[in-house]
Amino acid sequence: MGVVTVNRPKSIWRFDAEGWRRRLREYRLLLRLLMKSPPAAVGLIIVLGYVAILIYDQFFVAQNDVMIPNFNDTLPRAPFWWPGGTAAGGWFGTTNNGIDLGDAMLKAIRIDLMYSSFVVLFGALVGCVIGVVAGYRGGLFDEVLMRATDVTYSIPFLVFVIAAAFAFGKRDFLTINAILLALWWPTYARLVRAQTLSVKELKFVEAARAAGASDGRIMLKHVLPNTLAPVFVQISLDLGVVTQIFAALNFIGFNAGNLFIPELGNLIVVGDTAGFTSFPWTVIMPGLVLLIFTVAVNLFGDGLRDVLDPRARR
Amino acid sequence: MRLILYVVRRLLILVPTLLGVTLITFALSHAPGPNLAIAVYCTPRLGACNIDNPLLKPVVDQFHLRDPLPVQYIYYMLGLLQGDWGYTTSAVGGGMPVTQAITIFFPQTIELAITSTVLATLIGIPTGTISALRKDKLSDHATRIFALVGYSIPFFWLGLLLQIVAISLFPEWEITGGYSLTAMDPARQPWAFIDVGGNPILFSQPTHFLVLDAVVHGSWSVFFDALKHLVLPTITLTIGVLGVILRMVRSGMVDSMNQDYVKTAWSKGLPDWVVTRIHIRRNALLPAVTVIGLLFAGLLGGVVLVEDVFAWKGIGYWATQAVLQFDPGGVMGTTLIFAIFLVLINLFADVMYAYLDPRISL
Repeated sequence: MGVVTVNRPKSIWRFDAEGWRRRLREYRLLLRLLMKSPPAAVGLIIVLGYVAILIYDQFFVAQNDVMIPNFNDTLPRAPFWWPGGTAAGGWFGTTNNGIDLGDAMLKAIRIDLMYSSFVVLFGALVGCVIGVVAGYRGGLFDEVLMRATDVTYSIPFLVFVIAAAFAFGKRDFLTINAILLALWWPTYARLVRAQTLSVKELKFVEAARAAGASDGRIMLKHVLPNTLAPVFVQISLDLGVVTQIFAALNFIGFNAGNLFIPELGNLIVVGDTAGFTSFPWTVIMPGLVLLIFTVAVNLFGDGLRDVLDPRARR
Repeated sequence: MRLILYVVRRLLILVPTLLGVTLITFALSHAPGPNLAIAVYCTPRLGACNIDNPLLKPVVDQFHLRDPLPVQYIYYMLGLLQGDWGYTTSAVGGGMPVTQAITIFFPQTIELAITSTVLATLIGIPTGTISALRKDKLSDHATRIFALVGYSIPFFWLGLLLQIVAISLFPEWEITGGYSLTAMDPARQPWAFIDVGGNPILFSQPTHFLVLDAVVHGSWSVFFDALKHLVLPTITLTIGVLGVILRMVRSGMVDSMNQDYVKTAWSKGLPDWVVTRIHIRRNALLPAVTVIGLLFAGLLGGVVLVEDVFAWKGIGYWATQAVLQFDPGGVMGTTLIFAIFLVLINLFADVMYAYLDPRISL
């Protein structure tokens, strides 16, 4: 009798060098395809520029969480290129209370990006785990999950956040982010669940099960990696949405009562209080920064969707 | 018959969803604990602010604060079903019952939502069609850039920008607030106002849409004034919605243009307009119907911001004011009415889809 050798499944947590090398090759191919489409490339470059600003702010700017007013010179000054602007205004002008807009927007980009990427990434993480389990196991958990997401979808997002913030009686960033997070994972859970339902019927999952892999291992190593493509696209598109919602919440008064927090929506409010008809740049500038980021994120996300769609790769 | 069964089934699925929504609004209104309800009635003269205070017994009894939470929820649901949604205390609500405030504020929101959706659809479908037919031409690129900016632009910022432009072009226009007091007067236009606790609040009869009612009553100064106020909020919402519609129509058209039956139709020598309208566009618009629900969710979120920017006295304005002025009845009422509205829109979209596409299995 010959010796029967069984390929024991290795530990889930073992470092898989060959796998990572393969994945890295795949990502490099993705990047090359992405750079071939000009809009996606432009989007990626702009997003990376914003990320660079975030990193620069985090490590090289002093007092990066507060806007510095200049009460000796409270009237907004136009940027020098604005009709009627003077050199004292600098590149971006100043806003109410003599706050330098360039400096404030630089800090605002850090806060906006940091909080919104926190919400989106954690939401995606939680949603992926829940979605994969629900899709793979099915049954009661799945049913409850779907009904729960139905409920969160049936209340307009902004209204829900407003109501929840009211219930907690607090409007600081931490509360707002916790609420956003609680409302953001269902999108990902649904996405991953739908993918899981189709992936779990594929042959390699059956093979893994026949080889004796545990459910946890199958979910983590075989199903989840194959559901991630639409998740990445959703993450990139959501970044713009969450940043806007965050700014919008600050705009309607959810700014922890502190008018000196550098945040783009808050900056628009500050400009608005100075009188936006007399000093239009105080409103236009922060909004433009927000708009450019959202447009770039959308361009990048659309490009990513095209690249990740295998039909588009020729 | 199968369609009716489908509608009934969908209505049954609605029940747990709406129950979930009421559960959430109940949880939100009770999250601060029973002391919130008491705090409203509490003064230092009454003594300690808790449910054991004998002077607060009527309040505790009325709101069933001693009962366990599930029992309180049942009382809450019974109240909702009997039309007792509580009272709104914020300044815009003026102490009205929530249900009455909804009848006053909701038509304003609907007016904005309907005008902008209709306008966006009327512009979006033809433009999207042309854009897809001239794929990769200059006009296509222009449309795509417009759509991209449209769905990326923050509603509140766009509203402010339009205000800047409008004020610099027409300085004499009064553009926020929904109507201007110079054109409207409770004495001269009694049909447009309702008296709430001595304050006249805009509530026009009989359709509740000020623009239409002004025509009905033949007062043209009010009509033009209302129209002037409607323009900017509508444009703001339209640009956002238009971006989504353009994108949807264009990608749907491009997808269905590559189908085999379209090639067959072309090679049969059918006229251009027959192929584009009947073969391509009919099929391209089908998936668009399913997105109506999502579109409306975004639109209602946008309405909140646009109403805030233009001081348009609708549900969204009431909701933000309710939060800022600590008005529990207002917050719960607006959340619930938004949810019910959105759920019904989603139901309508699903039924429309099932009706339009005979292939779908009911």
